[in-house]
Amino acid sequence: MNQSPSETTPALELVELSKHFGNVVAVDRISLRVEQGEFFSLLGPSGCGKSTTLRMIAGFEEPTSGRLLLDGQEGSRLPPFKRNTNLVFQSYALFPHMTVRDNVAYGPRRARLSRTEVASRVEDALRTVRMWEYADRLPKALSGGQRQRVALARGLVNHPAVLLLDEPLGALDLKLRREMQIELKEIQRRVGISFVYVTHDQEEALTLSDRIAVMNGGRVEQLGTPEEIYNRPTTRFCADFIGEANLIEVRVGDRSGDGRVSVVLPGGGTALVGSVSPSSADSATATLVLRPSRVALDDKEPPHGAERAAIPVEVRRVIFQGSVVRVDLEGPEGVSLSASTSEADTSDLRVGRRMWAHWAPGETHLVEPTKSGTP
Amino acid sequence: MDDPRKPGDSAATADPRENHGAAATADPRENAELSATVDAGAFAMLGPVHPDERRPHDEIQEAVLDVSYAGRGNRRRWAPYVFISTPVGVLLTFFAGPLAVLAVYSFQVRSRGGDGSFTLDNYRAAVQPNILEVAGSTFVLATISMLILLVLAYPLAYFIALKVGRWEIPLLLALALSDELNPLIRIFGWRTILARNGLVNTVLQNLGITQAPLDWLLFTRFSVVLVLTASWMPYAVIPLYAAMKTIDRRVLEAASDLGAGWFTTFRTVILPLTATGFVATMVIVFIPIVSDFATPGLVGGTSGRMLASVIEDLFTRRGEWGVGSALTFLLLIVSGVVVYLSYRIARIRNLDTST
Repeated sequence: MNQSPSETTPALELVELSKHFGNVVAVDRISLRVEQGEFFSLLGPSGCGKSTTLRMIAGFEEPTSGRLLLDGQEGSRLPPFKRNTNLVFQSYALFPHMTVRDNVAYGPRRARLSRTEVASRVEDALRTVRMWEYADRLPKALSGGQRQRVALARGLVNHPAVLLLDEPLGALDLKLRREMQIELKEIQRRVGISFVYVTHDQEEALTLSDRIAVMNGGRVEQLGTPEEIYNRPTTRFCADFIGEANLIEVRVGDRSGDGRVSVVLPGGGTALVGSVSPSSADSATATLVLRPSRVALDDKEPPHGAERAAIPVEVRRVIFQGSVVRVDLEGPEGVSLSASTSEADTSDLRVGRRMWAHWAPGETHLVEPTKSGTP
Repeated sequence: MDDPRKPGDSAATADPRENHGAAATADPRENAELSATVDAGAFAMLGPVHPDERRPHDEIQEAVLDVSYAGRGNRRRWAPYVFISTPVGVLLTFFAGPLAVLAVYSFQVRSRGGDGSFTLDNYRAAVQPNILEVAGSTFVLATISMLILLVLAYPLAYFIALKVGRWEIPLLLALALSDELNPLIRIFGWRTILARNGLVNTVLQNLGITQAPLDWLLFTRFSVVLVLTASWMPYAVIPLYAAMKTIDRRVLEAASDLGAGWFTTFRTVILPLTATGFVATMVIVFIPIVSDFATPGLVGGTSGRMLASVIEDLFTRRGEWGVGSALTFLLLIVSGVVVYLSYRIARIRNLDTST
């Protein structure tokens, strides 16, 4: 789905876009490009500015500064009804007094398309979301998932340059949400419209997106493919927010010439790290990011070195989570970390047992320390 | 139903069925005392209905009702009627009663030493050409006033309900306050503004816009419509405001997002979604305007006469109670038809949205 940026005009481009509400900076100079046909997610906790960004793109908030290009055209001062974007609201915001058909036909009718054109587009859109059979119902006669589909069709039917989705699955239960995720991705692939998708659910963002912008405090912390963001987080926030992560404060030891960096672990052991983010460069201390799924447990001390890094730990808690078992551990200097294992038999993991936690150094990353300076 | 009962059961009786029987025969006051001894979760058990007959979502509602009129089955059935008997009684005595008296008067020969025998003369007198003429002008003036009110009240209600933010309550209070003013004081206020040497004419002449005072400002149809419109504004805004409040503002954003400008949004979304408020406003405003006799009497002069002032005249000055009653009833019937028609229009255009 990704096309190389140089070939085509991006569907959407934000340049140093900011939004201030009084003294509060909701969005702080963010820049990003959404390519034609791309599924792009804005991911972050509530209050990170992702919804404000989306509302600026839709035209409901006017940017304080910066530029907003839709299909290469400056659009930040256009009112919503003149923009080639459509928004799927979290609460769906269907017109309660109109049938499903009239809801979906609302946009095309405003565009003054001919009667037959409107009818065929509406049918297309409703078939795409598998709601054609419900065309004559009122929204109140639909379930949450069905309303969601209608809201999606109401946006798709206009063939917007960008379809904006504001936590569209937020009101659905987990099982339905999973189903809709897959279907949403499928629909997006089929219609080829660029999606900008706002969510606070990192799993949803990883599942759906071609690329993700992780937002925090009004800024983009990291921008990349789901694999990049999961496997090589560039900031402490990203590592913590995306997936489970052990964050271990370490001293940076050797920065050898070949680019490999070694750190001093709690307890005094040293270990190599897989990658170093710019945010931790030239700092004396740093945070080691280690995914719990990469941590193995052993009774015997494993051979240290380039292949394996290890620290001694004591089992604090064993939590059964269904498909995996999470083991909370305490290491030297009071450091806590957890390991998740999918092994069937964990009955020998008793609280208080002393073991070794070890991992492959290549699977760790170094990001900035808690506060710049001392950990 | 079973779970909330459990703590109560242990506090009162062991078997729920026994408990049910006890509650059914006990005096309500006893029940109240009993309820004080058990925890809040057990309030529901005071009701005489067997648990199996209940649906889960009735629980909370019934728990409340049970406290208010727990007791024997028949008492429970009668309690609501007892409760509403007072307002109904007041209405019957002070509203329907006088109306019935007027109805009788309208069919009797009464005035000028009449003997009270049956007649239709009053109705014949009430549809004489000179009265019909006033009736026609009344409906024209009332309709114009109502339309102006709707045109002005819609944007006002829209801004108060959805746009002004923290000024919402102050503005509503100001609107309510403007209606607290004694109507007579208010109408005389208008007279000082609109009079030949009043505020408007003085300002216009001092600014050199007009040479001579404008005579059409007061004691004309213009002044009647103006004062009626100003007087009934709160009654038009408040039902519309209430209707606007029920609109999810995201729905308005959706309309804008889908390409609708403000007028299209109004026509396709706001108007249909406030149809109930629209009809309510028409009725709430039209009826009192038609029956307003103070405004046309004080600022209407001869050209701005309305039906209500004719009726007032018939009763208070000319002693024609029979004709006055007949005219009152004709007015009531026509008003009823107007209300019914506006309701029908809202239905036909599928504007009646009870969502």
